[in-house]
Amino acid sequence: MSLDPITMEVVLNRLVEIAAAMEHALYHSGYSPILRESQDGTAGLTDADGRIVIVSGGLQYHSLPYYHAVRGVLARYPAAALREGDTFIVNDPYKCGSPHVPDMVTVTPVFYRGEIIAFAVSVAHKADVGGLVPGSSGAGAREIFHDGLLLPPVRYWTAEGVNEAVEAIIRNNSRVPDVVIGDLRGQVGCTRLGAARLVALCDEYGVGTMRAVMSHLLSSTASRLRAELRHWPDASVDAEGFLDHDGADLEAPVRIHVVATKEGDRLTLDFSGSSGQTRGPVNCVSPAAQAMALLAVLAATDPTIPVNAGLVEAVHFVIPPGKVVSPQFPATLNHYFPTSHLVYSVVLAAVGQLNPDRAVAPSGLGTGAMAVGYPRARSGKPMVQYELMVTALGGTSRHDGASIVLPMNHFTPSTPVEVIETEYPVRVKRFDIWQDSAGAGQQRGGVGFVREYEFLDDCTLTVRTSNHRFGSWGLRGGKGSRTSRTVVNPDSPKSEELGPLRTLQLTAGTVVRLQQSGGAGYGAPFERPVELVREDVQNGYVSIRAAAEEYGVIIAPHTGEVDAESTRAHRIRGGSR
Amino acid sequence: MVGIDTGGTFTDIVAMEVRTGSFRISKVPSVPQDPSTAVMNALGELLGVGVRPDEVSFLSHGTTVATNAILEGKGVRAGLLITKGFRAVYEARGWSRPSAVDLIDPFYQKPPLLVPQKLTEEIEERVDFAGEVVTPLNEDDVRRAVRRLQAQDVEAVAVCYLFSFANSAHEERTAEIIRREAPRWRVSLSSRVLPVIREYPRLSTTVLDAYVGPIIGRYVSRLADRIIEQKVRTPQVYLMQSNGGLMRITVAAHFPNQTLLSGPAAGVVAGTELARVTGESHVVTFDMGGTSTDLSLIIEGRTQETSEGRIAGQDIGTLMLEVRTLGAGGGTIAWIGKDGLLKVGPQSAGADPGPACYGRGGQDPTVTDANLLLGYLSPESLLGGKMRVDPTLARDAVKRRIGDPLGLNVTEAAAGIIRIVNTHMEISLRRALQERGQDPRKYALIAFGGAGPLHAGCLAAALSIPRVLVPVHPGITSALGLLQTHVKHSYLQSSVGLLSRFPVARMSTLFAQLEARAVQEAQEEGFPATAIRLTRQVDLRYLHQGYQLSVDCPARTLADTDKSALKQAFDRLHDRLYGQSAPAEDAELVTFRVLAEIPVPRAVLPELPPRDGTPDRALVGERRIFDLEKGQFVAARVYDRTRLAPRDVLAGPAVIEQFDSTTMLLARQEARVDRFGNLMIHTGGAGYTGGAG
Repeated sequence: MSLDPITMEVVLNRLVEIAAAMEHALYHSGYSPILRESQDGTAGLTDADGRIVIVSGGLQYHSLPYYHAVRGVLARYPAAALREGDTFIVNDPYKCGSPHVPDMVTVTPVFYRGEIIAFAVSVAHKADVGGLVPGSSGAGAREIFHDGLLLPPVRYWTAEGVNEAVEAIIRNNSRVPDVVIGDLRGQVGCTRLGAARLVALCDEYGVGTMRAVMSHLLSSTASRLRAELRHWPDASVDAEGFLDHDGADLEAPVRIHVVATKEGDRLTLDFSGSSGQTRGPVNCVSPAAQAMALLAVLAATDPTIPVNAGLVEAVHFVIPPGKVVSPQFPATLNHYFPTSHLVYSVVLAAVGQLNPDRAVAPSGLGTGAMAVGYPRARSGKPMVQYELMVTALGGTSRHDGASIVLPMNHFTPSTPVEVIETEYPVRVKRFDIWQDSAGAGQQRGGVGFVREYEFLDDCTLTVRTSNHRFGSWGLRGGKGSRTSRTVVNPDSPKSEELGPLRTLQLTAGTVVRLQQSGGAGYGAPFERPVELVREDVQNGYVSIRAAAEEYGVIIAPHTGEVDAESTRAHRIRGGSR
Repeated sequence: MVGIDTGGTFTDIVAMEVRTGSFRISKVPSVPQDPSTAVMNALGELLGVGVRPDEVSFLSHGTTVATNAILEGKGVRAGLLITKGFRAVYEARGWSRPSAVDLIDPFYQKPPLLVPQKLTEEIEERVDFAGEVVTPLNEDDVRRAVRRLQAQDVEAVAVCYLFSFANSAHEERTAEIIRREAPRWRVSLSSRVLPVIREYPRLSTTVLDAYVGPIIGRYVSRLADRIIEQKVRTPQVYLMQSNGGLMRITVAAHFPNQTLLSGPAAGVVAGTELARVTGESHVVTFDMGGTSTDLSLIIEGRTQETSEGRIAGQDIGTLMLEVRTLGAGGGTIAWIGKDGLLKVGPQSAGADPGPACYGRGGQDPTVTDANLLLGYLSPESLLGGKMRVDPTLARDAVKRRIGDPLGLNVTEAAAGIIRIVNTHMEISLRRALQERGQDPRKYALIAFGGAGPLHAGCLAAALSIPRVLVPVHPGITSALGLLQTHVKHSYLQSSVGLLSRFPVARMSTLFAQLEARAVQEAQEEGFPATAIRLTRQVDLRYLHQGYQLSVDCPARTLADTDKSALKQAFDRLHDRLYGQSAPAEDAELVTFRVLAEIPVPRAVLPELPPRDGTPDRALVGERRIFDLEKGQFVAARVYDRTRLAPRDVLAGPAVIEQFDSTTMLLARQEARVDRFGNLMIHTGGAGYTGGAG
């Protein structure tokens, strides 16, 4: 069906509206702090084949998992067995492509005059679905069964209402059942809202028009990406990065390696050189890894290209099974997040060589999360405090990187200190900028942060960050950033450095300090204007010592003034002392 | 009574003669370098036509001075005092919601800090969630900080400590020390500016107060002096606030954040007043001007408020009227996207060069150009013919930039531009209605601004809104709103706890404290305590939810039975907004609110006499306009608005022209002139019937 460009644009906007309305419903009826403060969830629409058309919400990399979730439902329930009013849920990553077990997916088929025309889908993180530790994602996991309750695609809701049996099973498997069920119902509600709205849109414009617009959205994304790729030189480049370890074999770094080959209007990303799947939980299922890689490709081309299944048509993946980015059942996955972030950073480093105008220095590595299980929160009930741990963006050709932000998906999920202390028996002692955490450069990285907690009650802490050993790398003469670290009882005789991945029981009074890396630098630090370095020192982003050592700018400690002469001499000598 | 509304291009003045209800309107160019000059020019224009200064009994003013200071980054050099160890609260900006593109663009940047880290001082002190002091205030830290900031030439300072909403003693003591050590500084305390939970929005709001406070202070004191120089001696001189109320100019320097949205707020006020006199309980105000459209809901006669405002990326938690602004106005540009589809906005050609048809060198086709080509606007109709436009320039721009590349003729391209800009407005309005759980079929659309009455018929029909009200003077409706409201101040205090366990005595005490402050400040503002009307609200949420809803609370000593009534009201509201509620679960109290209203003189819309004869007395001709539904030009009658009178009934398709706007009446729509001279259009309610989801 061929349509005029005006009707297309009108209906396209209406599809965006539906996804936005779904997202609003998801976030505004959710119960858990993860949904409300971290916005760790998305909602959107796929076509009748499950290809993602539009995704709304913080984490755009949910795009490909939508497809696998729909296919997972259809594999268990043939299309003919689906009925109007059904909503399915699934969280087994091997059956739905979602990144890890706490991410539950709801799938509502959209019927129009008896025919399935689309699926309304939502992915959102759950506070706890059982497993080894509060929050479900334990450092000690060695197989997927340790990660919590695994639901295959099951019918959770019908036209008659909720399936009490399924809900009872979920309740029975969570440490915080009310919160999980509250959020899950919000997810169900938002997909049913999306389905109803899509049906109304078909009533208004006709189902043929709606299908044509969906297909135009996918083909436009594919053709725009191909057009961008045509401008790149035909070449093959590679990049690599490392995780410190997998949480199980503490001496073995985990390698992510990609070869990016561009020919004509086609890009191939080959991950064959990456490490094999791991015993510990850093594995990242292939649909999720591919989605991260595609986001990196968009970042290096044109981020105004809409994220949808059209991306897959322009990029070809080579990922042999059994790699850390293509683990096979029953490998554990709960700590996929830093792996996915490293996949993104490595792909961005590779394709940046093919399109230098959009190359940026990498963000600080070591994103992840922290979960604390309290037997008694302030409400008297058991509760899980969950916070995303972000880093900062790398410098660019135009400006310094953004500070304290989630890389890949640039939102800032910092739960207010005042909310945390009101809900949980904990005192936040510091939430500070981390001096010298940013990689030096003509444009430096964004600044990282320090967050310090004093736990006022016994609790179970799981920290899941990464890259305390292998940090980010600079670009075009810029420097890598300082690596993240986590210390228990800092500045005391009992001080202990934790690895990036640990679960431990804490007694009341224990202090834990997390330092999260800044972004890497872009361009030679000695090229950074002296005045900007002086300002960085005044702002506390850079120490006087680092100003001299990294930037060759000599500042008098007492006056704060730049010693212009020694600076000039120092910079000419190239910083050797 | 005089209202003066400063906008980016023009300063509008409305003067109403109280006895007769007759009013005059006029526009003078704004003077961005010294906005008070434009205000005085506007006033001078009025005094120049025979109004005596002592006849000005009431003067109300809407200003963009503070807004512009933020947009242009030209606030004052301010310092910030924070709890030691928490520099990342401001640096992180934990509320930021990047656009869909920024979300995945590695070139993403956060908005600039209005107070840089080098002017931020850490103070040893700490209060816990219950308001108990954990670490006493280190007063030497405060003195050292003041000395360092003195060396940096700041002229204002913001103080935002953790949990100061629960216990403000440390902030109050800090202010005392600052006033002694640096008496000339303006001091903003977060526990005064916004005493609610969540440190980042409170901090950002307090910083804004410090950043623009001295600028508003200087502006209002200069303005007050100049008004007196003009021998206007009335004490009734007010500024419009973002909350839709007035404040006396003498206290405006204390509430700079309240001026940030005064322009759009005045439009909402005017809409509220129109809704009241015409008996409409559910209304959308639709203000479409040259560069943007403002939409706001009035539900059951009440304006809606938000505490999640944002100006140029700066977050502001001060309560303000909830107004959705989108880049859709007469000057909004049409272009072809990289996906090959026609896009409209959000960029605007502004006033200069403006739409292509203005002939000021604008090459981009705009919404106004499309309206001209479709016959909705006539070349002679803009500003009563004062402004000439050239349809051939509009045609060339639409053909070259849109029609030819897309293979459409000029009419198809122009119709496409209108359909798409209408779609943007339709979506924005539908989202506003649905997020508040509202059924559009209960609503009337009040259309004003230069372009509002032109697009309102389509917008209402698309949303199944049955009625459109076009006020007598759509172009100056916002300025009229300056004369149609009360003095209003909100007082907030967070105190978090389970409703079931929260002692009612403490609830009553918290309200009493807020009310005492309201009464005291009203007296300082020059009003007798007896003039104040106080209303109470509490913000509630289900335990662990992130969003709270406001529920009315009785104004008396509270009893335990009131708590269950509050809970039931909250359950009902939650059910209406989100389609679900949990009556069996406990609710959590988050914030207590007191709203103080003080009546001041208000302009009353005059009723007009009916005239003899039929509406044909206003008929000035006929022209061909494009019917979007039929896809062809149809004949439409053209009326002169000034010659219409109450009880006239017009049938569409028709065009009704007046000095400051043009109203479109679509086929099958009917307009009646009411006793005030407003046009009430019955839309027939065709179109989208999705309801309120």
